[in-house]
Amino acid sequence: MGSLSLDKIDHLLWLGRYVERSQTTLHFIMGTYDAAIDSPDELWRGQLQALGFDSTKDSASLFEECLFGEACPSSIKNSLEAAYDNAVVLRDVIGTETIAYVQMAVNSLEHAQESSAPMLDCALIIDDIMAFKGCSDDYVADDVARNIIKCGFSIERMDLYLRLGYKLELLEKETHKLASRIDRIGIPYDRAAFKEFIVRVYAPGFPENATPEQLAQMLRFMEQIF
Amino acid sequence: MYSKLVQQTPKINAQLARYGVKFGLYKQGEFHERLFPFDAIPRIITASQWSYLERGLVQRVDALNAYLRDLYGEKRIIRDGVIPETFAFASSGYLPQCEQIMPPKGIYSHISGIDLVEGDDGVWYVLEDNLRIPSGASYPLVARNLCRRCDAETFRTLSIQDNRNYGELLRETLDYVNCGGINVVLTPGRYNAAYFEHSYLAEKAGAVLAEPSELFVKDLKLYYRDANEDKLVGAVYRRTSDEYLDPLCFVPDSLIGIPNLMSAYRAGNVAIVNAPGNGAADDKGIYYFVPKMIEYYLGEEPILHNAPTYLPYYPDDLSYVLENARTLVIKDVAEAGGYGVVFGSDLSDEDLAELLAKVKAEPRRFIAQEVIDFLCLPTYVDGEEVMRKADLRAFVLSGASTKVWPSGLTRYSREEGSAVVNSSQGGGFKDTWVLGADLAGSKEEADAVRAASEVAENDCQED
Repeated sequence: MGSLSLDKIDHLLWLGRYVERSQTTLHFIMGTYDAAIDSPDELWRGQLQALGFDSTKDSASLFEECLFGEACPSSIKNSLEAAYDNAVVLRDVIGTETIAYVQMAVNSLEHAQESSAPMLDCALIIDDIMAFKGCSDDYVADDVARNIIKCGFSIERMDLYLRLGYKLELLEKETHKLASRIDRIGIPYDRAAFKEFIVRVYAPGFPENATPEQLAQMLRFMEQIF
Repeated sequence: MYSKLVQQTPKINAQLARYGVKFGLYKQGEFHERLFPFDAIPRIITASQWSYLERGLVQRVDALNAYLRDLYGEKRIIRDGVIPETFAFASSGYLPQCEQIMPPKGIYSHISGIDLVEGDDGVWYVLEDNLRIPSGASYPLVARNLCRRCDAETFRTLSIQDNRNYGELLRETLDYVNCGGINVVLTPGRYNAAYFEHSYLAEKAGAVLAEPSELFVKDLKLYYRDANEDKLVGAVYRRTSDEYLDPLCFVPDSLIGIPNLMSAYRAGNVAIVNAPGNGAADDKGIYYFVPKMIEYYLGEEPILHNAPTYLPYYPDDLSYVLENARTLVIKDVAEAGGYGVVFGSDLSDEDLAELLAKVKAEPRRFIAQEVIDFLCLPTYVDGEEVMRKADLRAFVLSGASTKVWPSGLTRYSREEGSAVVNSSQGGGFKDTWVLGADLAGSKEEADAVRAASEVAENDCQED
């Protein structure tokens, strides 16, 4: 492992989270954009509300905000800029080639903002993000750094799936991925306790129907993780 | 010769945007990042020109290092009356805190950025020495890779010295003075104007990029706060100004310094690259004395020329400046980055009188120079080839030996006729091609390069 300060570890994790947030949110926005064209109900508004967007706006303004809203923390623009802010301080760890794909995603968003068909052009952002993921997997030489970024992907994906009630069937698979990635970072932890904890978090009816005893048991699992 | 490159200028700039080749700028208190415009038409330096420049640059930097060793040590040059005492110690870059500190291996200026221009008389002049934290090496490094991809044929047929070894040269320099431990590049942070360069050079030199909060001093040793185990630092390539380096030694409320760094340095446990206190030798006023330093320390005739310079500090020079201010460029020695540079010809009578009153009141604060009518280079601006004034920052690295990086940062002015080339003032940059000995020996090639230069020069004069 090279030299990594706590600040850099923090940036690596959040780089992964913001990149994943940009990608998953963009996929989600594209889906709702399609639904908004001719969906008989307006369920898609509630889904965007769950992401933190102001669903009371007319659809054109709402989707403008989703992509480019500067004042909206959940917009793709803000997520990508946050990803860039974390990436740019990691050049010595992840390299210029890898950072370039985050920069390209930011540039693609700027081009999309000037386009007459922004949702179409946003596909380029997905391309850039996928390229970033491939590049970080292939070119980031430091195993620990690479896996911290990937932990960020997993954590963000799980967080978004839960918040949106989206792709819940993938949660268990994502949990296994996260556990494997933590293993590769080399932090000593109790894998079994971690997985048990996650299983309980994802159990139907949590936390609304959890008993005090169940909560106490979960806390014990949490204490055992690290 | 480079027509293919020129055609691809927009694409090369798009690629530079991809790599985030930017510099920061503060405007009305807000931080903005700007792409650094690249012009694909290179500055071309023949092997014989380079050989001359290289010898002159090594000589100059060796003398400047000797001066710094002497200034903070024995002070022979002052005792011998070559440089007036008050002049040397009145420099704002002179730091009494550095007195009697001998840096590792006795090197003060490890990375020197020497600004030169080629006059229309074909003579190269040194305009400025930058011995503190000269920036700009990263930009041609990125550009060269892109240009090679763009026009392989030109690079195959012309023997252009490869400049992409700067990271290795930097690493060798850091390793040479390293006192045991890792190399770090210390940056004030993300919102520094040259942050791209800090991070890029750290990557290329294999050093750790560190912000001040990631470094600390314990038992007179500098450490990097690694998440697993603190790591000893043997050399710190700092990109922070002297006055902010250590709040216990310099500006006490510096938030970008490392407390006790100077104690670790004084104890010989870490090399600071470049050494604190170097501003005493790259002061615009001290510049006047560099040829004298070369004669004094090296016993040699200066190879490179200074621009004819007057120090209003001396009564005769003051009289000359007052009489000839209209034809001179007057520089405030406390300013940098193109600020505080005033051409007498540009001022109204009232403004000139006001400036000269300041010169009379604070003669040590100003220097005046004859205006060097420097060579214009063909430059591709807004879709057409035009002539623009350009300078050259050469990088000299001092480690086991003094080496000149066979390239440099050529900066050009965006505005026709303007001699202000600084990026902060809207200027762009070019790659600098140093031709290899084998090809420069070819008469045809040397003639072609010379012809291109002459066309450029004539066009410029017509403008």
